[in-house]
Amino acid sequence: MQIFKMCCGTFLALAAPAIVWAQPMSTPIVDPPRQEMQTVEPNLLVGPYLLNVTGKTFAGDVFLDVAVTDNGAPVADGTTVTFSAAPTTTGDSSPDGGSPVDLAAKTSAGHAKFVPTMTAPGDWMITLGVTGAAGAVTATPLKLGIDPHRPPDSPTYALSSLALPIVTVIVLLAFLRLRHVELEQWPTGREQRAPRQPRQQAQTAVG
Amino acid sequence: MLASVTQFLDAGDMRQFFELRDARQLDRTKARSTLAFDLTFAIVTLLAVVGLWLDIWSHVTYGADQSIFSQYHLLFYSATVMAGTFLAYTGISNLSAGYRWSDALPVGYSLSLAGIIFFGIVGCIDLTSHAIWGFETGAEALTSPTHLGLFAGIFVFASGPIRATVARQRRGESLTLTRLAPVVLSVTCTLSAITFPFFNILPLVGKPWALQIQRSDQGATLGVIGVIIQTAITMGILLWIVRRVSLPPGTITLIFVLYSLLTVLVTRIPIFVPIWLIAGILSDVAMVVLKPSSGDVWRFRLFGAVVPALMWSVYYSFFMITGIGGGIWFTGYIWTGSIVEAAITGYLLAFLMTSATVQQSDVALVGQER
Repeated sequence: MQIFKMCCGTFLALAAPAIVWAQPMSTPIVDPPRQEMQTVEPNLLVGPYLLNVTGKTFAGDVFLDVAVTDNGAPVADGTTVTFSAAPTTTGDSSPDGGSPVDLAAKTSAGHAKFVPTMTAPGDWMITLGVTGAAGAVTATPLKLGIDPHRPPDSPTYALSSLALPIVTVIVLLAFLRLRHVELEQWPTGREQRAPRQPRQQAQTAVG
Repeated sequence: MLASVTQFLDAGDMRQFFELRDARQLDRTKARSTLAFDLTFAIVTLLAVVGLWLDIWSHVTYGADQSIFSQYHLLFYSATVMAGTFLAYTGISNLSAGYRWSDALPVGYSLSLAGIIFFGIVGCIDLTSHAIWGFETGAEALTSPTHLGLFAGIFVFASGPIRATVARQRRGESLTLTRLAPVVLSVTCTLSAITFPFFNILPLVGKPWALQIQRSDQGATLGVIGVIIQTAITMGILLWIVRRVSLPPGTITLIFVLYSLLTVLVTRIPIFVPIWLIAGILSDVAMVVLKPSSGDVWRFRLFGAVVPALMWSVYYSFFMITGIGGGIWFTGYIWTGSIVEAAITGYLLAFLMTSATVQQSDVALVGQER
């Protein structure tokens, strides 16, 4: 019996942290570096609120920072901003295999941040909503293009891009020199390239 | 000192461009570029422009850059540096041979060097602004002031061979077929430099508004505006050249086809190439018949109106006959009207480029009215 109690105790001691860890926890959203941010939807008027959406819109790497102002002042902390996205089903840019996303976030210093799971490149229809002191409003759905991730830079491509103009100029100049082709023609009377007189010498000559 | 600076920058040459004043003074002191010089410079310039078109393609395909050291920036920056190095090498060689610094570069190329230096300065500001404020996306990349500065720099340095050709014409040397290659390359690059900021709204480059597959709410309005802008860009360059240089037949076709091939680097859709080819051939015929370079103002202005009319007639006819993209959805009033508006735009440009002659009697009449 004691052994059974010990086993149960050990099991509970091991299982308790696992149960805690298994709880859904919101991972803190880390802002990407400023130079990676772009304008996504500028000056979007939604009811009494003005929304400015910036962020990154690459497939599998989407970050959206929604700045919400009410009459020019940031909305109170804790204002709820909702974000929903669904892949478009018509046109030639319909995301392949994308599934709808629904998220909500609270504002802090007038900003609500989202990291939606949008892994398929193409056009998505997004809808933003705000629920705050000035009321609850939802924006008209907007089309948002999710760009495919750039393939990693190819050293061959980079090197050939860098070298092509250099090699072209060197080869052309070498060819022209070998064939004794002149690059310039001077007007009559100026072909003789007389070296310039030093200034002092010239002044002496004038004096 | 000021005189040396203005001579170095071919200020007289610029006056020759815009006001048709005599700039023979430059020809007496400065060197003239040979075909080899023009061709070398034009090829390096073409590489820079190809690099920029490829960079625009990367923006269109993958969105904004994610690093200022993107591989698509390398070709045009490297080619521009080499164009500058080539001019610097020439200038330093002439300086060390005893020529004055104001005469160090051949006629037409001092402004090219100034354009490259300007491009370099704006390029540094552009890269710094990207590092601080991030990259432009979508239309921002086409309207950003630093990018417009880069396009302006390319316009100034790419037009070097054109200025050299104008100087040769001034001396009475006609443009021979062997001399044609650098001129065609230079005109194409200069045309590209003006196209960059607008390429995504131009009906003959990236946005055929009139096609069924591109039909949208404001499509007709945007389409007609696109026709006018594209006409202004194309005819602005074409009239600028034709006014000063007697082009051999076939030149416009070569320019149009090469230009359309460059735009395919971005769009990857070669559907406009045959349209440019046919429009180029018809424009060459118009040039042979109307002789716009003869000096007669009416011939020049008529050429300014006829070429856009031909160009857009070919455009609409091509899609109506082939039915590509679902054919044309513009109504007859819109597409015929846009052809007329294009012709008016071309005529007005030609009108502005021809100096008005005010009669002495008119001046006297104005004086009497006062």
